[in-house]
Amino acid sequence: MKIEIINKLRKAFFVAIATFFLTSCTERIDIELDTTFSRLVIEGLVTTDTTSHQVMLSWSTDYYNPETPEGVSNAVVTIDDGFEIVTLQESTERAGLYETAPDYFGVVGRTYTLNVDLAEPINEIYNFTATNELNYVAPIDSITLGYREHFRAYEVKIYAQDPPTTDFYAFNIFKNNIHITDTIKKVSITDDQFFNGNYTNGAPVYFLRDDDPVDKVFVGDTIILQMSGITETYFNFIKDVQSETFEFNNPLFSGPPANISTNLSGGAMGFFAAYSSSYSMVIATDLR
Amino acid sequence: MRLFITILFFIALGGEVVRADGGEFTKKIAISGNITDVETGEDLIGATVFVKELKTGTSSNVYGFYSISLETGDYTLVFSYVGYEQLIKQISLTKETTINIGLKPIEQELEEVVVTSTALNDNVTRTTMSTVKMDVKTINRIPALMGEVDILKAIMLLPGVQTIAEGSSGFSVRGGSMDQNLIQLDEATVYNASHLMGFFSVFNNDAIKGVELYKGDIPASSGGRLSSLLDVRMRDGNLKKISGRGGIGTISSRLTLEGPILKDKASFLVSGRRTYADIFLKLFGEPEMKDNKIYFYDFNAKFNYRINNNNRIYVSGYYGRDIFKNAEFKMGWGNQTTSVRWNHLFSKKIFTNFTFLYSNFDYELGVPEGQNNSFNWKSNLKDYSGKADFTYYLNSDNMIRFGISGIYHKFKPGTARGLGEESIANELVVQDNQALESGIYLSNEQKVGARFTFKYGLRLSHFVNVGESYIYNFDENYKPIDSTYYGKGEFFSPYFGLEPRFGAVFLLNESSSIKASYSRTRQYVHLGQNSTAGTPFDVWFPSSPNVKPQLADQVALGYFRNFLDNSIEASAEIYYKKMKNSIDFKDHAELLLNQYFEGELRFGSAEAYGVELLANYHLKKFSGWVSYTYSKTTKTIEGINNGNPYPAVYDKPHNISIVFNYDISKRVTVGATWVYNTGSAVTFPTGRFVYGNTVIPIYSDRNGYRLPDYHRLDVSATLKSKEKPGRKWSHEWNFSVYNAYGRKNPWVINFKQEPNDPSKTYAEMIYLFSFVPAITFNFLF
Repeated sequence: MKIEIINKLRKAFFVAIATFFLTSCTERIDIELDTTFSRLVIEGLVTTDTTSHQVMLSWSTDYYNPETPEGVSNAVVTIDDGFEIVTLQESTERAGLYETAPDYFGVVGRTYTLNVDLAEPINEIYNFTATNELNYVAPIDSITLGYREHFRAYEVKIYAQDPPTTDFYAFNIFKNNIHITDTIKKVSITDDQFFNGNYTNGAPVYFLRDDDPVDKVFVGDTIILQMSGITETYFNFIKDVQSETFEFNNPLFSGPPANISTNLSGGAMGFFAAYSSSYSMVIATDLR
Repeated sequence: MRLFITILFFIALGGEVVRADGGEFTKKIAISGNITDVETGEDLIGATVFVKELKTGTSSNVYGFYSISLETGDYTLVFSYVGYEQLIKQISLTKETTINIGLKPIEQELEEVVVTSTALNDNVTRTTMSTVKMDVKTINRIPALMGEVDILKAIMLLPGVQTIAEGSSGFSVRGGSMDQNLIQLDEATVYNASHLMGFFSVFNNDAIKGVELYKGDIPASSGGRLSSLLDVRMRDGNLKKISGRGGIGTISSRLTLEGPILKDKASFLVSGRRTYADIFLKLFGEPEMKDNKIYFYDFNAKFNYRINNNNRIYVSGYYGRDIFKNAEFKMGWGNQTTSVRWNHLFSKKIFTNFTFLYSNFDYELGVPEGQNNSFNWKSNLKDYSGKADFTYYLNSDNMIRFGISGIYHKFKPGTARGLGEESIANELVVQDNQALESGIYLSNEQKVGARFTFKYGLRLSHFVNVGESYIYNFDENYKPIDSTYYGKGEFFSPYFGLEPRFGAVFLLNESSSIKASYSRTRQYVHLGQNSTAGTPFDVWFPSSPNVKPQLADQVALGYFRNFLDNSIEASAEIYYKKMKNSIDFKDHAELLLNQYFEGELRFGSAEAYGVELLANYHLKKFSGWVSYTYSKTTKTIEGINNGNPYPAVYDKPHNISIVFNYDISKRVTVGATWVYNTGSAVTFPTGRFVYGNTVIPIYSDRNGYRLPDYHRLDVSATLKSKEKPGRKWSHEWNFSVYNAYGRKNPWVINFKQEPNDPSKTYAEMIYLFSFVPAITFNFLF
């Protein structure tokens, strides 16, 4: 909720300034940038779903390089949940993608440790590790839709009980089985600082805007909300990513740019996350 | 402390008789009085009194009061002030005398009068350096954005003062951060001097008399900020007749009324303004635009009463508010200040001012009632302070100042709560803080022979937190471990220290001098900035067991020279400043509604040096100034940029300002301002990686890049009404263009993913203003 407030604030400021002066403009500009050494990038995830879990290893590139990052092959990748250690196999179809067996699933309450040993070192480092707890998430009683005239958007409203513990949530939206929040920029996150231990009573968690062709809701659409209980470190990671990729950054309401946080050792970028999820579904009616 | 008071008493009582060593006794007699504008009765600040026979003199203080002690005899006194006719008075001094002087403004038609500075060589002789005074007439002639004449924007055209971002009211003085400027309106602290995110300042020019900026060499009577003192004074109100002034501008209107309550004794001034630009928003079809209300308004009021020659009372206040709201969101913020002052003369030689001040800054934001995310979030900061300042005009060679001050700070960083029955929000309170800040000082300004003047002073400042309070303790990773409780009214974590101030002037000849100064300053309250340029939601916080006071030492050396019979005042200054316990914020710091706020702070040091060149000219038809600054500011903060030094955002090595005014005729004036500076230091990505289908930037060095150079030309023309005999009012039209050649100065450069091909990234700049014309109609009656 605080994130929501602060982002709303930043957006509102921007609209205010833009509308007040009517003269601010954007223009592409050629900026020459230095190059930098390649870093190891890790994107890994353990969830309570029974499926083949994936860890992607890739290289970072220079900022303007449009090529798909190269995968990092021939690494030894393991996941340890305190009870057993599983070794992931590199995919034959995609270099750098490491997978568990399809019957693998995470267990709430366990702490997961990722271990990566590279075949070739980077900055003389072979070994990279990260840990993340797999937290409980409350069930969703139901979700409903509302329409916000001001934003011209359908809002997804949630009914669920927040536990008395300090919790962090991530919300993903699927519309007609299409993943709307398919980039981490679009995932909605919140902590429970404002509503700890309360019933959420229809608090809005996502806005599906009419002016976005992918998001726009039509009558009869099936909307599924996935609510995930994430750790504070993953919450901060997503928050940092969203702040660094926010489209309205400017000196009035953005701090200095900075590298995003990570739970990975050895100077690697990215995150190894674990979480559990609960789901709810609703069919869109005409609310406009 | 007792010793200090004893010394002060000794000076105060024994001062009538010079030579305390019991040598020859020479009786000195005081001449004192007020220097005012003869037409309005306004006090003139810094008007000079020159004793021709002795080639010595003094100047009026901020209340227009002067005092000079001389031996009995016949003297010729010359009273003068910039833009006013000189007044020469012959006196035969036998006993203490009050001489109140009214000076007459120079009329434009008096073409035969050569308009020199008339302040003579004040620039060369005055003991302060690193100081710039500006009166409102000068500021009014500078072309302004949307015609809104603005003191703060005028200040930023001076050497040594850097804009933090275009449009921002935040400024950096000699490498200091923006919270290191003490901004005072009639001596009351203004915590956030900006309206509309800083595009305009809280100061309404119609209510302002003038402003003085101390970039260093801050007098011992002031303290609490490291880098500068911006002393803004409101006008007192016309003592002679009811009059008014106002203006209708492109985005705002203003109206001021003033006049005598008791002729020549008591007067009032009230002034207000409001913007109305938001009515244009209605023209938009998009509800996200057209539902927005965005405006600000403010009021100034002042009352002053000259009870008699020995007593005078001033009461003044400011109230301002910014509002932004729509169906989904509302926010508001504003400052309030109140100043009550009593000037009292214990004798013709001892001028005293007792002051009570109140300052408040608050903001609120929220979602209006009726929704399940409705909430209201409030924050405020209040100061109550009292001061007693004494000036003892011992003789024509010594002016002693001493005084005490105390401020009670009350910080309420934030309270958020749900609104209405549907709201799910809890109450969330970030704990209040209280603190007591006090100071005591003694200083003397001493002339030694015909060429030397020394100014030396000592300030002792003290700061203590006052319970009730929980102070969190942090481990070496800034994670909170536990907290310490301090009971209600309990004093804890005291800090105190000496702040020596020293200045010297060596007069080379009538038109040139060398000046030097050293000052140490301490700062006990700090600003947690949520952004580079600052917003109303920045958080002021006190020093505490976790936060040490900031400390600065500054040395400066200058050469001052006047040309062409003082009509060109030139100066060159170099300075070096070292700051300790400087504060910055960790990467992605969370400063709002965070009870572990202090864990987001990082500490280190900062260093600044530079050269400032300034030439102020006021020729017969031309006036203005040219300035050039070379400066460097580097910060070294633990945990930021891997602990390596990095340039501050406002580190803009080269900075040029040219301000030019030309009186074409009695009725037509044109003005132009050109500014140039190196682009500010920014952080750009060098690498990228992909996570969650998003391209994420990787940064190397903090502030390792620069925005393109900034430059801009503003022009204006003012057309005054014809003067007709008997007409009681006059008006003028002001036409201005901001950024006349439409330079696209990047405000920010963002890096984005191509919408159609997210694998491609590009740089995009946002520029704010290119070619903004404005018309303002001003009237005076």
